[in-house]
Amino acid sequence: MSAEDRATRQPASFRDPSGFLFFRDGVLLRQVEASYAVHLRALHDSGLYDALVGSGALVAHEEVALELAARPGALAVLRPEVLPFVSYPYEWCFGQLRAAALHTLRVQRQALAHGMCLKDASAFNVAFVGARPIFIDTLSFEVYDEGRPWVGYRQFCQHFLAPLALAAHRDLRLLQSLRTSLDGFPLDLASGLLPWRTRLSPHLYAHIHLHARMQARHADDARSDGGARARRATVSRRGLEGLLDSLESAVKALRPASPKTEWGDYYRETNYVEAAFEAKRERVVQVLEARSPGLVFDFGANTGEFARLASERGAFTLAFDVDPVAVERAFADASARRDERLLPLRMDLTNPSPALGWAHHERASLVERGPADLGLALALVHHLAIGNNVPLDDLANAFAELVQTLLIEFVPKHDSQVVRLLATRADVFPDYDRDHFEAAFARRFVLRESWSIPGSERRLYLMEQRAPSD
Amino acid sequence: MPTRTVLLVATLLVLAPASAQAYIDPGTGSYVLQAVVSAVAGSLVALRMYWQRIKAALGSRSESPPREVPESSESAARDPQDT
Repeated sequence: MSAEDRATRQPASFRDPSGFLFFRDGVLLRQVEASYAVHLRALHDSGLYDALVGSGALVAHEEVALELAARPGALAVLRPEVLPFVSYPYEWCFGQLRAAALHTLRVQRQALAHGMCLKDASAFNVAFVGARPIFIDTLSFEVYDEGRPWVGYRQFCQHFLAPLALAAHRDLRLLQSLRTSLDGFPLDLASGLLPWRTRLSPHLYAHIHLHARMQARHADDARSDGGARARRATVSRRGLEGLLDSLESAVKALRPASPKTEWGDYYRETNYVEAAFEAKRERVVQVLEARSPGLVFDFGANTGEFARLASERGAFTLAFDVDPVAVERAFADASARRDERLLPLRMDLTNPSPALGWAHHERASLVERGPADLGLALALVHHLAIGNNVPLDDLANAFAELVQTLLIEFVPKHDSQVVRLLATRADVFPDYDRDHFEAAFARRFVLRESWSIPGSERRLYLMEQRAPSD
Repeated sequence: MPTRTVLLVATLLVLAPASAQAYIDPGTGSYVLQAVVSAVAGSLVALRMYWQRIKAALGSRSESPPREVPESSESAARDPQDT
């Protein structure tokens, strides 16, 4: 057998020459190159690896046979612990980006205490196991060279501080711009967009406003002095600790701007009939217990009430919602419970996370990160079919790409929520009824069971994806 | 930090490649700014440390034990949701 035949590099893993992730026979492995030898040894010998993995701060790995390397020249091959789902910074709510920022600083401090340092500070180096942030790049550590400035400083400000400051001082929706700025929010743009009063905060003034000015002032230095000025800059160890203190204070002082949104108070404000809600809840529990799915996608999860039913029964559950405030609440709630199975994410189903980055392969689309064993689509269909004019056939196609089994609620036209959607617009949905809904979904799914929801005209359907030959 | 770790790190430093070039561009402006900000922030850390020592020396007669290091990695390792 040729070792190279079955090894494929993970497409996002190409920037750092220290090594890369690859798949061999479906197993995720990390090749460490010889150039990283000193640092890998220090990571283990200093006790940093044990300290970080022991506290759940860093993804664990085990060393496997060198023959498994993807290409010659490997120092070691590691098999990292695999996470159930990798989320991206542009899908996080404010609290998640803030938690990831503080986690990065915590990891950096711990590294320093062990004579090491983070050589980057990308938000993509952090993932979430439920509400718990975890550092996922084992090769981000290098031996600390006292006097040298922190290489990751600029990245930390761009990936974390600038978007958090904008979300806190300008508008929460600015976090979504991280989808277009994969290397973080440009500091000159952040400085221009932030209100003037943020200059009164010494931390934000230094790390964003002054930082942007210094970047502009020194933009051409490398060409004129060949990098001499950058090489002359020194930062003492105590100075670096002070810098980390300052960044931490800056992040901790930020709170999300809290606009009133459509969904944040959904459960509190709707005239949802208690009995109907309870009945739906019981059906969801019944399905979860009968199927015991490993991965669940809850679409339109709001603050995660139903998603929690799944996570409590052992499923790693993604609670997707379009409303940043609802996701914020779901995350705060999951964090308070130290929930390691429920991961709320901001996701607009009418424009879900696409494949992004270099050659469209660096960051996977939502579909590429699925399919889930079970999908929940409760009180959602009308928002997509009527609120966004999506034909029922297309709706069925989309769900068939995302989940194996689907528990979906049909909300008929005379339901008060649909009446509200249609109140200010023409009803151009002659086919929006139960029969057309069932026919559309029957093309892609096999209907297993359906139940009416007492106290409402709504109906729940449990369906399984058709095999291509069906 | 235990002496063994210090020795180990010192050895590794000697072994480490002399020109530790970053694989990402740290940015000249970011480096220059960092040198300035960290000088200020570092003196604040030092001031606070001395202040803690003075406080500890004065207060040690009454209750709390003296603390040598004001910012330990443990102090930051409590809860991701620190609010």
